[in-house]
Amino acid sequence: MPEQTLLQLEELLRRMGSVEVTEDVTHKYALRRALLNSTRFERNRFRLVWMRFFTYSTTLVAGGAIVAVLVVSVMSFELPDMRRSAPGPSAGSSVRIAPIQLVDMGAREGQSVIERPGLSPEAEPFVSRSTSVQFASFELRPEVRHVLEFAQPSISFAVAR
Amino acid sequence: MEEEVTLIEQAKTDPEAFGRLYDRYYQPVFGFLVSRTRNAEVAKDLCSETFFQALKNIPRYESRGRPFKSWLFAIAVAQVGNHYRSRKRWLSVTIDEAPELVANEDYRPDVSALADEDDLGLRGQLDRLRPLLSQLNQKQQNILTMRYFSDLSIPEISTATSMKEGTIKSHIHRALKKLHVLMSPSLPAEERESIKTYARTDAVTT
Repeated sequence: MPEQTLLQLEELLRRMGSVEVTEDVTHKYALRRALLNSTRFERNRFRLVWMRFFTYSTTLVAGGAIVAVLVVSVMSFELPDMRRSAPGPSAGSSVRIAPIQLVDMGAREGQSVIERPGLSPEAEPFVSRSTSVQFASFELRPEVRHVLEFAQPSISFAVAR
Repeated sequence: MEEEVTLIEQAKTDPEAFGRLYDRYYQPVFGFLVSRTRNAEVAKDLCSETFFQALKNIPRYESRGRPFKSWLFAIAVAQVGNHYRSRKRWLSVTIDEAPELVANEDYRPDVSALADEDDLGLRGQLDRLRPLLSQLNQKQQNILTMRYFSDLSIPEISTATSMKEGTIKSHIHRALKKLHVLMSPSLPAEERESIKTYARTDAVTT
């Protein structure tokens, strides 16, 4: 093959390849961004770990806050009940208190209910003259003996009639 | 050269340094891939794959007097090889079925650039030469594209293809000879047909 023909062909090929290929700018920069943000770089990997941590911890914190609000609201509904059933003097236990005078609206000042004139004699057994007062809690399930003990005056009154 | 070696060392850990390398070599690699595939979309895919492979393997890259450009082109050549191997499974579409693809000359810059020129003779020669290039085998197409389209030197091509320089020169010579024979109008039709058949078989097997 003559040398000149070879040169001509080479020239043709060079001519064909000499024209700049139009690059796609969008593709170029999209690929650049993807490459530079790749997790193959230690820096990006570190950032990714933190990003993941914050993503998950944000969800956890938000979820925890919701749970906390729910628990607090449920507790606030239960609290009054718990207060009522709080430990205190129960049936059968007696507390010594200082002598008191029960005063009602109809009684004169300084006159006790017990001394009030016109008090029904039937009510006499129900008026405690003792200085000790018995408390009974009906929220706790009472024992049978406590019920009987408490109800004894009423039973006696009913039997007497 | 010294500056490039430093840049490559930095690029192993620093994204900005890798970005500078990318900016330097995007255009030659993309140009090579467009010339080899003659399809911009495929070239974009292969270009992305080439740079992702480069990013993946750059920590293992050692210069040893081997130009980075050759290393990158070796990856691009491998991607082109993968593409042509996988293309055997593609469904072929004839020109009649998709005339709009043939009419689109955006990614045939040689044709687009010559469209304004009066050099119809040159355009005619290029039009004849272009389809003949695809009748060369893959190896020869790669070498010619790197040599004349991407302006790589013989040693650079030798490094990129892992062939001896003498083998590269021989491939170029044989490819040009084949092109000349295929282009020559004076050649008897029988002989041309036999060369074409040989070239096709060669292109498939290589």
